[in-house]
Amino acid sequence: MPSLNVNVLIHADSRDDIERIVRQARGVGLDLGEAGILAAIGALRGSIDDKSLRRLRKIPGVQSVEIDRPVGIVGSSSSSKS
Amino acid sequence: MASRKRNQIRGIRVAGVRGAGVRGAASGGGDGGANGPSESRWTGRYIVMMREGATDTARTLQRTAGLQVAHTADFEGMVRSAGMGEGQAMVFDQINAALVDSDPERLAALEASESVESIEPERVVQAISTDPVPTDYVRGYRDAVNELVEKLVGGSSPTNSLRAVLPAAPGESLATWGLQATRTLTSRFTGAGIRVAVLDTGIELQHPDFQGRVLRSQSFITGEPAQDGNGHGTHCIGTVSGPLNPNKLPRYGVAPDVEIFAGKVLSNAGFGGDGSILAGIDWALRNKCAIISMSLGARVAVGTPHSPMFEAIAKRVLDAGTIIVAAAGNDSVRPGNISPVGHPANCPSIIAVAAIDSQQGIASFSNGALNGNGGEVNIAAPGVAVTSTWISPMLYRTISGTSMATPHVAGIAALLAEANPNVRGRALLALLTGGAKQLSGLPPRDVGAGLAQAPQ
Repeated sequence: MPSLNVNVLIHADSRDDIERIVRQARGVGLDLGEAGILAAIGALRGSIDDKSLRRLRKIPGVQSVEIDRPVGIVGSSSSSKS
Repeated sequence: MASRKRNQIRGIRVAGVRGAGVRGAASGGGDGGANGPSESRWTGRYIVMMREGATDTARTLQRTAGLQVAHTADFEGMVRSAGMGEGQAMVFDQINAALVDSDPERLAALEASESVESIEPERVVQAISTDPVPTDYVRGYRDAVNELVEKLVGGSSPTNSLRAVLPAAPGESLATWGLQATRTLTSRFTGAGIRVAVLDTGIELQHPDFQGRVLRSQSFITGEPAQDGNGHGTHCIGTVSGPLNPNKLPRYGVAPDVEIFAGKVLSNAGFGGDGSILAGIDWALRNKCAIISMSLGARVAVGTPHSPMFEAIAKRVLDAGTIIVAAAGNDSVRPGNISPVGHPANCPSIIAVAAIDSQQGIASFSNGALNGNGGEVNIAAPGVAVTSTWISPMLYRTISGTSMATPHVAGIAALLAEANPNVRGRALLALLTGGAKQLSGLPPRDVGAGLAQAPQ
């Protein structure tokens, strides 16, 4: 099944409920890898197949889901910049 | 909405994306970014997001743009998009979006459709690691130069690197120009008791200048330890926290007594993703770091809004008393082409750092405040010809970038935090920007409040 790397923001007022949200997220197919539960900032990171994305978004307490985007060293395009 | 979509399309063209139909249709100037190596970050295809409630994505693509359409369900278990050709689209039914390979006329037709929410170029996660200069080649070159230097000057000390036979920049015999310009040398503070997280490519754990320091490291890159295999992270950490008396002059570290938290969120090739950065931020917060320094980012187009998720998290981090400083980006080619502040520095609650040179002019590559609502530059710092630590065997290196400006600001924030033990978070940000030195002739678009200054 093709999967997307995603980051999940948990509502500020649902952060105490993170264990329930994690259970439900896993239930809809979110694969939380190493360092997947980011309790200090109220977020999750993992991967999920694209067909389950909507179900993930609808879990009570989930504020938003963003597809992981690539980020790199700022300006690594030249040997004189870094 | 129509003008927002126009901006997105203009952003695609201005960025010089190698896309069907806009291939080669590079910027004609104006506010866009420079074309160049970053073009390889895009696949040449586009992600078309349909509006909420749009019911038949396939029909819209077929009727509006004449595209041949396939559904993801047709390709279950296969590598789905590899074989797409021009004029074809792959519909993701579950997320109401499509991947499109199209010429500009068809894209324009889609843009005009009321059913279409946005069109963005597709990024290639792996391709961002296809640096135009292969790493192995650079390492080979470095090793060859070091060997030549060894033969010419003799000696076998690991610190007897290329830099050892190159003269320091004028006026840098004792301390870098960056420390002088930020008034770090006369500051009474050293960052003692302050924790600073540097989220980057890791750290050279065996560097002689870091021995005996309070240092914690953690990798968030699968399969790679925190040991820096790139050099970029080690350089940034050196600027934040290099010692008062390094093994080699000049002194280059702003806050020599901070506790260093080296989070590896970028691979040795210099790339990562939002998720690894968020994991690094979470780790820094759990460890009560007062400052998080991030010399990383992704280029954005003119008109691109900031990430709502990163902004929400940056606010939470501020509420917890921690500030995030991030590089504005190096995509400009001044004076003609200025690119907007990149992601995630473009979030309102993250401090975006521009780079200046030793003459206190704006660096030619430094991004500017073209996008509002967080896309501003907040402060500037030394970012041209900055000497700091590097991975073994070179150990020291002089390079440029807003990446180099950012740890100057992080270090100065640490000095301010030490000087004001009860001031954290937003109040610390206010001190940081309020204490900046205005730079004559440089607009806030380029340098924000001005040049960061150490407390005296």
